[in-house]
Amino acid sequence: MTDQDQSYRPRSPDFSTFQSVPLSPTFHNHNLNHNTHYQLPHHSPVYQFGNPFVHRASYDASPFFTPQYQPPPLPQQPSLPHHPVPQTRVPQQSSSYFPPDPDMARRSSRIAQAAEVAPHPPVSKYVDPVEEEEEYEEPPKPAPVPVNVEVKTKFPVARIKRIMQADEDVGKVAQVTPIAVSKALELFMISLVTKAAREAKDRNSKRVTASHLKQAVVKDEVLDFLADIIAKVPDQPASRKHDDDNSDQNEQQPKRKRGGRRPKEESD
Amino acid sequence: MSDREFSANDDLSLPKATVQKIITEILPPSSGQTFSKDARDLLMECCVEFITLISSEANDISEKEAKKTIACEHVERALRDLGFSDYIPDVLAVAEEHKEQLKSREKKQSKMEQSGLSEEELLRQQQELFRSATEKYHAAPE
Repeated sequence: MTDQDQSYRPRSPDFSTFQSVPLSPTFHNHNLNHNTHYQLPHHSPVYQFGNPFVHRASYDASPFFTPQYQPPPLPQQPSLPHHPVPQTRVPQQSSSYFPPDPDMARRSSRIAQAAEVAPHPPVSKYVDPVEEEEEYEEPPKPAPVPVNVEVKTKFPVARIKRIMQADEDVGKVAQVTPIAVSKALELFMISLVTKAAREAKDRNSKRVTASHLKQAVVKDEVLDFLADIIAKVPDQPASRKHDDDNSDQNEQQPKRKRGGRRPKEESD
Repeated sequence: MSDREFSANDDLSLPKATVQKIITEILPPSSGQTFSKDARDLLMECCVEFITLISSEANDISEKEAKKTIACEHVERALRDLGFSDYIPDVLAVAEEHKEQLKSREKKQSKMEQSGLSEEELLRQQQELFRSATEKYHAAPE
C-alpha cells in the first residue's frame, strides 16, 4: 500500500502539522504509518508529542481514558464496549488531510476492494501496551453477511477477456467490459453455488456434488443455456470421477431414497 | 496447483485455484458444506458458458447499434435481456469505480507532467522534504 507508491510529488509535508495543530491526530498517525518512506522510530510512544488525543482517537479507547471531548462523569460508559462512538476513524482516510491518493486505489482493484471491506488496516504498531486490550472490543472486520456473500477474490480480467474473445464473432471489447463481465460472473457463481448448496441441503448432503448443481440448474429457466453442459452430468453422483467416491458414499443413501424423483425426469 | 492442467483448453477456462477460492468464500467451512471436485469442474464450465453467452449477446447488441466495440452498456442490456437484471446494479457500480480510477490516474499523470520538473529533481525535492520532516519529528518531543 505504501512503499511502492512512487509518485514523485512530495507527499508527506503534513508532518509539519505535528507541531502546529493537533486537530485530527488519528490522521497524523496514519500519515506516519503509510506515507513515510523512511523508517520511523515507531517504538517511541506516541504521547511524546504531548497530545493526549493521539492514541485515543484511533481506538475508541474511551472506556480506559477519560474522554476529553465529552463530560467524563458517566460511569456506565466503560461497561459498553460496543457503544457507538461518534468519532470514527474510517471515512476521513482520503479526505482533506493529505492529498487523496488515487494511486493506491488503482494499484490493484483487489486492494481497493479489500480496503472497502476492511476499511482500515490494524494500526497496532502504534498501540501502547495498555491499549492493546482495545483491539478485542472492536470487531476486527465487518462480519460478512451470510446471505449476501461478498467475494473478495477476483477473476483475472485478462482471462475473462480472452474467453470473451474466443468467440470469433466477438470483436473489440472496451476496457471496462471484461471488468463488468467479471463482476457479473462473480454474481452468477454465487447464485449457482448457493443454489447447489441448497439442493444438497435438501437432500441432507453435506457435500455439494455435480448432480446437485445440475438439479439447481434444471429448476431455473434462466439457466436454460446451461442445458447442454449439464446434460452430460449423470444424475447419480460420483460416476464421472473416482476421486470423489469415498466421500460420496455417505450420501448415497439419502439420495437413493428420493431416487424415484430423479432430476432427469423433471427436466424431460 | 496450476491452471495449466488443461493442455489445449488452457486459456479458455477459468483458473481452478481462483474458482476454488471463491467457492470457499461462498461456502465457508463454517457452513458445514463442501463442494466436490465434480461440482467445481461443472461450475467452471457453466461459468465459461455464461461468459460466452453474455459476450455473444452483448456483441449482437453492439452490432445492431453499428458499434465496433462492446461497451459496458451492451453488457448491461445483455444481462437484462437474458434474465440477469439483478446483477446490473453491482456490475454498473464496479464499472463506474473502474472509470473513476482511470480518470484519477490520468489526472495524476498530467499533474506530474505539469510540474515541468525532471524525475531527478522531484525525487531530490522529496528527499529534502523527508529530511526536514525527520528533523522536525526529532525536535518535536517535549
